[in-house]
Amino acid sequence: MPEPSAVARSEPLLAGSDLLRFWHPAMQQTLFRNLLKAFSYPGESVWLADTDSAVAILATLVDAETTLSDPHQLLSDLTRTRLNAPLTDPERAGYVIVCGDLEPDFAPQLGSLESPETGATLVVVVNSLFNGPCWQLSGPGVRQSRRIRVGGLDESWLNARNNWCSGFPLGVDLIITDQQYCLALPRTTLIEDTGAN
Amino acid sequence: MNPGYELPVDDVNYNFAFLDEFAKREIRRNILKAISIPGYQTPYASREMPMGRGFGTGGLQLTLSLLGAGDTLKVIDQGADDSVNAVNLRQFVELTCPGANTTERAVEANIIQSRHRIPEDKLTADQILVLQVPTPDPLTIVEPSEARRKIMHGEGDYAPLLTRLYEDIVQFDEIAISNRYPTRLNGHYVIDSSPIPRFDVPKMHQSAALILLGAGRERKIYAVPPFTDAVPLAFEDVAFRTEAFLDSKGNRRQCDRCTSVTSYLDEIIHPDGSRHWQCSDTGYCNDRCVQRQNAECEEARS
Amino acid sequence: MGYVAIKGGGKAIAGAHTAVESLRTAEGEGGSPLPLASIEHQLRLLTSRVLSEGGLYHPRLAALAIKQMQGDTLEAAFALRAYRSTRPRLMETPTQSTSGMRLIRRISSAFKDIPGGQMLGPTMDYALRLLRLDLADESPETFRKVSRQFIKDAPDSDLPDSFPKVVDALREEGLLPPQPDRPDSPFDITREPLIFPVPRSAALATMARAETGSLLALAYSNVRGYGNVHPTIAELRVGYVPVMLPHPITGEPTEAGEVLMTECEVVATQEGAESGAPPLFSLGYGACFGHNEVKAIAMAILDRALQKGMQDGADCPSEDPEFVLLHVDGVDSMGFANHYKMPHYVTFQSEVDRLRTTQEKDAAHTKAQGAES
Repeated sequence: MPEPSAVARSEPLLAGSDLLRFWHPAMQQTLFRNLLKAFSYPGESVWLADTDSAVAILATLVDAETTLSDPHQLLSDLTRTRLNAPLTDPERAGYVIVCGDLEPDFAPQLGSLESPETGATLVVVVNSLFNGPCWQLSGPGVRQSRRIRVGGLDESWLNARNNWCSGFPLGVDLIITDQQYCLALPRTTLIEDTGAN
Repeated sequence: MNPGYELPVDDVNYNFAFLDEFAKREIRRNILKAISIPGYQTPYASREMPMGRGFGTGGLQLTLSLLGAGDTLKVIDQGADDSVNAVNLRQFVELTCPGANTTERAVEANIIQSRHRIPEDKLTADQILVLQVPTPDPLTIVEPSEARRKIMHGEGDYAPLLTRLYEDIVQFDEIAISNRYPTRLNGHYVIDSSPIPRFDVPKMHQSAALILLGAGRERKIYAVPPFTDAVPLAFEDVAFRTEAFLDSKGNRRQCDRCTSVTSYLDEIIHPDGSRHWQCSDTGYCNDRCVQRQNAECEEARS
Repeated sequence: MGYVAIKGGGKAIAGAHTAVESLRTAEGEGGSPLPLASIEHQLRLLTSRVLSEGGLYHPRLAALAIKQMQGDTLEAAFALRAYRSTRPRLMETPTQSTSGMRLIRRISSAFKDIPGGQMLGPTMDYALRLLRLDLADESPETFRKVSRQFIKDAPDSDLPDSFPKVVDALREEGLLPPQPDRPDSPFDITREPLIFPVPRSAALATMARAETGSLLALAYSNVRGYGNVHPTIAELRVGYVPVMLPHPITGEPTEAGEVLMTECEVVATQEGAESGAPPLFSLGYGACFGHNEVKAIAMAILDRALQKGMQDGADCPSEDPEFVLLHVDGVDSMGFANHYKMPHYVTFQSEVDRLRTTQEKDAAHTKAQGAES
């Protein structure tokens, strides 16, 4: 399977620091296809943008018809205006962006048996997707098993996430991102801490 | 209407991929949720497309939300690229998605939209298969109310469906479901596998490619993620069986054209009343014919 | 050996298109194309129907759709809907009030006289359905004279701009419950799928763009006996509703245009009034774009039936929100019926396989039984 980042890089990128480029239709399509790759193959790191990948993710998924929570104030006022999503607290939002080095001290939406899709999508911003504690993944999208390393995530995250996802089909779907890459951990992914650092 | 009003006749420039960006974003959000909850029928708004509900509008909306310049799309119906409906959908994509390519060869395509078949060529992780679905809920035959069906799905309560299969066995000594075979994903949700024949259902199991299913009229998106267990419902003593294509002597029939003995076959009745068999997957059949011709040329030359 | 042609689908589609166009122009040398304005006015009720089922208020495009689809209401409404899919939504109107409707017709069957008066307006209700053979060969001169004469004879209007609503009077008298609180934002069926149970606003929106015949059949089933609504029309009005939008600069509500609408309010006897509460009438509401009285009345009856079903559970199909709302959309139901025309030979082959297998087993079984006896 080729590096997914190669797919993304072969597209003409509208370079520049202006975050508005994330809303360009062609860019949205490219970003979405990379997110799709990430969700299809959990744990696979996918390249998104030179910088501000978290904004790129939200620009692809969020608009006035969704709800957004930004409890750690990670987004600029301008970005919030552009996203145009009603802001609410993390207990009620469909999309939540948080800082990974802080303890997850909230109870996100897990959905219901009838409508599990209302379980939240959490965008977790971390330092690194390459250095850090080693987790072993299995479940849909993972052939046998896969190991990932995530750096700069508060140690209580793994437990919190596994608790939220313990009652399938209820649960949360995580997108973990540094500035450029992201990986997805949908609620079906089984995560074990290997203990290796 | 104001007497001075004139129709905007010049205003016929459609957005790339026809749908507006908000519609695409909604579909994209729901695709990711559908992958995260394998087999769950994620509701979405489903816009009207300029072809009939039931003609693949659900699949088409998925394809249009995926497609970008540089992608290569194959559209098939009944396995054939040249079936009228496949032609119609392909022409619409060519009209509204400048920069996207189309092909009739499965191996060249990175997105394949299909009705009623999964291609014979094994799909890879670089490909996405989009299937068109008329009736997405396998529980409809046992429970007409969607509100109640949603609870049954959530609880993984498929006892009434299994009872229905069992009644078949009592009556016919066989499971009589021919296509749209109910299939359980990752041990929880049972999906309608879309009107593919039973022959194609095993291709969903641990597929390297993502499979997305779209029902436009019923406004649902669901997914079989890659490398996911997809198990057709059956009983220990009555197995799930695919179409066998055996002749009266019990031999596997072969394609009249490419001689394949492993493909799904169309039965064709000739004007003289004789029956013939031919691959339903025309792209696969054509490739094999070309290969055979090349091999014959090689032989003749040596 | 012959093979089934696997090429030609594209050619066949192009040929079908040519055949359709040839029939549209089959009048030949004496023919002339229908002007859109003629469709819009002379076939105004057809245009109304397409507008409302298409869910897009654009009479000229509705006329175009009728012309292109050669008079098929389902296909014409469908074309309008598909056109709508491509238009971005720029603004949302606040809730509009029909009390400011500029009326062309207004009746109540509940009272002999109503405040503001009964106004028969353009209706064929009391016209004899005798074919007017003089229309078969109408000269343009006569045709234009009718319109000219009407405008000339019309008296200077002393009609007020708006009329009081009959249901308001009934509310004041305490015969109807007070107006329910308006939801903050009505359910938007073009942006959200129906997941049951749905609020009443979702039911009303779905019915407002439903197929007229489907609504009529279900409403008829209710009042004929598969249901229990006994409606009286409190008020039926047809007219132009001003569409108010916030001014882009001042934010003040400003009239941006007007839409022709039909509105119907039926009063029904209250079934099983809540214990202790005084008995009251109940209300059913119907409204749609254009002039389509049958649709508004059918919708009002079904609204009443569905409200009952939502409250107490459904006792008949027309009280079941899922049954009614998922089966009245013309685009959906027509698409599904039509899709059976597409090739299904792969699934048919699969069905043949199952049938042959069960037949073989059956034959073997019968043979075995025959051998035993």
